[in-house]
Amino acid sequence: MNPTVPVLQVKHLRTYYRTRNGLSRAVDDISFDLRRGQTLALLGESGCGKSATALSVIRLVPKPAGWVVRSGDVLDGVPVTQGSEILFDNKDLLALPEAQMRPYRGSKITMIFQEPLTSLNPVYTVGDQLMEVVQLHQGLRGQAARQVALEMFKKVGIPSPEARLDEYPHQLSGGMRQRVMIAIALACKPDVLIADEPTTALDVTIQAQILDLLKDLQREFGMAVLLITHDLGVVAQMADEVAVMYAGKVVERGSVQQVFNHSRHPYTQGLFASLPGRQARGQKLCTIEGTVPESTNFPTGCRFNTRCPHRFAPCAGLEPLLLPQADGVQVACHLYTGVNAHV
Amino acid sequence: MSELLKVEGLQVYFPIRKGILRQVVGQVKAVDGVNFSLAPGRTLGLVGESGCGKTTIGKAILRLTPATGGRVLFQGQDMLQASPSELLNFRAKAQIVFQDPYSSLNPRLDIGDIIAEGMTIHLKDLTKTQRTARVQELLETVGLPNSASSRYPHEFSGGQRQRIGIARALAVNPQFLVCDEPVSALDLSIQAQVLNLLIDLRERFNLTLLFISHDLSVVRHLCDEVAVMYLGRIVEQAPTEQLYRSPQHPYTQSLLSAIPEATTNPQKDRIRLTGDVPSPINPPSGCPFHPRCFAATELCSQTVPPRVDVDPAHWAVCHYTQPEGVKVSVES
Repeated sequence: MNPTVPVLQVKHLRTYYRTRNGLSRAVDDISFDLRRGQTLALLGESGCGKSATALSVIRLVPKPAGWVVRSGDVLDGVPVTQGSEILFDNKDLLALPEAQMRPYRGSKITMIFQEPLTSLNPVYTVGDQLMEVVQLHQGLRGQAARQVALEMFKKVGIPSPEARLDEYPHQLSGGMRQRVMIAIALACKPDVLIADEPTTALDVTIQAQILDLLKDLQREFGMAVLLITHDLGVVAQMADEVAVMYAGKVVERGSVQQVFNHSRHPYTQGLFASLPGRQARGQKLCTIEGTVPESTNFPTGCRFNTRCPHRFAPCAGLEPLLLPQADGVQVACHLYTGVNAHV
Repeated sequence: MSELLKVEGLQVYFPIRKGILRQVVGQVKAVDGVNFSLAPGRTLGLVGESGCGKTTIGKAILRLTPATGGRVLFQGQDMLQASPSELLNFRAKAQIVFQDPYSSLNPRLDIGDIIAEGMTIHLKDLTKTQRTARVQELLETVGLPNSASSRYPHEFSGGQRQRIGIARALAVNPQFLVCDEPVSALDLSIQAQVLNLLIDLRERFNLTLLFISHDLSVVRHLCDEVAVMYLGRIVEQAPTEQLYRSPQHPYTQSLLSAIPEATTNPQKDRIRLTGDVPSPINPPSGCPFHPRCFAATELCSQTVPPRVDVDPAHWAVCHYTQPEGVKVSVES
């Protein structure tokens, strides 16, 4: 496959949920590409829509409460013209019937979750759970499947892999469980790996091991990684590109170098400023005032405007578009759109 | 320097029971001989990975978990031997803020009742009107609207709930506060708000804090002194800047080097720790860190290392820590 051609393209993704409090626009028109061997990080705080994005890509949005908006759907009585598209292999995954989605999910596009204890089945051995994937997608049976499982356990650095195959998830530590998850996700040599907060539940020394492992395996397998995290440090260490999400939108996107060294969106700047360690010890940290708005009731205009220190006239009324700057970084903020203050 | 709190040889063991008769077959040494002291107005950070016993220490000091041995001297008096009335008195002076803002507030009480509950026990002289006034004052102190007092916990976000937990702890005018991972369940921007609140309150009420956390950057920002724990013991303690500038114990060095930094500067050479934290049921012989230590030798697996004083305020428990502060080679 040509490395410059994106392996997965997400276009105008919108994922909505019906809730008791009204329509939740969890993901609201975001687009990105994934390339082989590259890592894109989706960075944001809880409720910004980063996990909903991951679930949408692999088509696991819980039904019927949630759905991905497609062309032809009717919203507020108006048919949608620009619906979501997820292109893989020149196919729109969203258009496939469920049965045809299965060869992709778990094989070509795989996912590892935040909490390895709840995402592994407690009543099967971890070896069985890995072999299930190999049986389903590669048609291997018996010893052949076990051999693949053993190979994968060795690859992810599980000590005494032969014995571990026959253990249950509760017998393993958190770090080992996450290694098992990674082994399952990589067993079919996927083109795309989605890692949803893969190290959030782990201690720092174990986190360092898992991040190193993911990097090594990406080098070996060459898959594209979509890394979902709230941790700026993890992004700096792992990603090539970063998209900062706020309230269902991407507000800034560029290479990690560009975004970390010269962040432009006031939200991104606020995140960096609130990191402990940038002020003298015991001094007040910079904060972003207020809290993240409810996804059923986002502010009009720029969704960050109610918390933004640089708010000016157009922000409350006009939604800023994600526009490329001279150096290629994309920012959705009126400070950079050239909108006149008197609009 | 007169200390407010002095912990001596604190031990907390949990029995392991097995079989129908629930016979005790072993012990988990969750906290095994911990010593430290805290002067009034100071903040000590307690850091370590999950299962190292840091939360148990906080609870044992407040007698929320029974200690197996040792002494907890609060203003010179051993609280582990305190009578019920002395204990009641102690708890008006020492309070705790819990980690999880969701499970630590009673969902059936409104915020006013949650905050006032401690006052009905420890500040009996207050009339109902005075209590209500004090609740309002506390809400304002922690940055919540007055209307919050008649609402219920589920109506608040995580950061707001943590503010409620802090207001509850402050209600009885404590001198000493155990903060057990108070910001680790919060988003970055909210975490900064709550940390600022703690910095504010500490100054305003001259609070002494025991700050328990696994987040080394938060601890660095907030604490005067830091104690690093591994498998139920403190392995190194030092004034904050000194600990981060020249960590002596290999475990502290590995912890500091494992934090991913939010910069694009080339990352420092990392110390890769292999393996998991061993089980405290069956801790390794000698130095409990030796199976994961990059500098371990034969000696480490056989002999428990002594405490080495690097300088009067800085010590580490390692065979290879040099008393005069020569650094163990990290570049191996």
